[in-house]
Amino acid sequence: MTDYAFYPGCLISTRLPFLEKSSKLVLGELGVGLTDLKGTNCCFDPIVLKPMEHEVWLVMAARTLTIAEETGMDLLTLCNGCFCSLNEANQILKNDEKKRDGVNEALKEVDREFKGTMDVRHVVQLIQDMGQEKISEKVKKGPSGIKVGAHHGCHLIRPREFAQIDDKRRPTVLDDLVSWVGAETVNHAEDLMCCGGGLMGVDDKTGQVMLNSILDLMREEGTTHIVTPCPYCFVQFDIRQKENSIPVLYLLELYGLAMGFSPDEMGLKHHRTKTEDWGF
Amino acid sequence: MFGLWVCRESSLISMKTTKVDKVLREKLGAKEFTSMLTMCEQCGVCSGICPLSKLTDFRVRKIILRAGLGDIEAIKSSDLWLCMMCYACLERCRTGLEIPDIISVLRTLAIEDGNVPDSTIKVAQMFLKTGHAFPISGLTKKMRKELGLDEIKVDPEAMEEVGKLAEKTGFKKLVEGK
Repeated sequence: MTDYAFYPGCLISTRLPFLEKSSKLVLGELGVGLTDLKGTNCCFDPIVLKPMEHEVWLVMAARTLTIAEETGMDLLTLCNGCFCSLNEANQILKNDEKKRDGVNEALKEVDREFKGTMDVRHVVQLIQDMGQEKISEKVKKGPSGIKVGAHHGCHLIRPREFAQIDDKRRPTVLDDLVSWVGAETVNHAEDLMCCGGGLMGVDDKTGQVMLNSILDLMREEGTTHIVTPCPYCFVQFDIRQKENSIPVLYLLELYGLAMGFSPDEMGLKHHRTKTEDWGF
Repeated sequence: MFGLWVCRESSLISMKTTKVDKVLREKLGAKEFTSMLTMCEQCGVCSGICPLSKLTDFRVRKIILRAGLGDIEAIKSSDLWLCMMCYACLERCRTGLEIPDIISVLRTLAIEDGNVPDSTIKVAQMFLKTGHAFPISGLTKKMRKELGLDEIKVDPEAMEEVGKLAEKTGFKKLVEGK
């Protein structure tokens, strides 16, 4: 199995280290080797920092990409935002000579050069490539009686031109991955829509309404658990549900439970949405 | 062209409130993503798919129209900061405009003009201070230790590089004093 240069993303490493823990447990079980990257910077997230200045984004993202290039491995991230920002920058810099030259001119300042020798991967792509059979082999116990609201998160699937994760008009990649460990998913109209997390700090009230509208649709379908591969959506769902909270799992936490890791060793007690029953 | 639409449809922007700014218009015309602005047919698909349209007065279509006209309101309005970059409109625009990138160009000009939310500036300042968008708090350290994960610290060598690049790219200047 291929090894990866591991870049969990700064939201996970600082605020949600329990997601890093469960991901490392699951990826270890799947035989994936991870080398922690040192000295990287924020990906220049697609919601706040990247839209402030595009040229700065390309340079800052490129700096982190050069650190991954030094390892000779592809970069693996656990975060939709990091995937979106770094993957797009990597593809643009590989294909656009003029932009690459401009970025490398700036990087000379810190003795770095973008070479374009590796790819940026989201952990969802990694699992997709392994395939259902390999995952099913590792499932120790399937869930019982749970109905999952699968929330992809915008930056896993868009922009399609760069994400290239699911070419269906209406992507279902997350529903597929959830079903691989034996869980049923629900359908609702907003399952590919924004969770409202990006509005927090700018217009909290609207962000909350947006979240609530998704939650209402999920409840109508009898959702018992929310699963997302995005730490930003995870935070939005986990800390901003006001009442009748539906428990929230990061995708690899769901996999961890199915593979027999205990809620304790994965640090599930750090979730704000409490439950006695994770469904396994 | 835009002009016809502006006159014809009262639901769009009133000409009386449109303050065309020649400098803004030239600046937008010269940028990669905004040079195509006048190709917009104002079909409104972007606003139709935008999750904010259901909840607020935010209309992507109007932002693009204002930007195409060079209306100074395009960079003065606080609406510009509501877009969450979900990219739904990007996937639907039949003219193929890179709408999120257009909004980004407008945001850069808005910051230069002093129109930027505190929460955005705080993230930028956190980045300049630590290289990351979130702080390494006491709770972070405690949780990582308890979970058996490596300790993480702000890396002085990385910060020196980030600082140099922030200077070189003009990011420091853009953010400073805002």
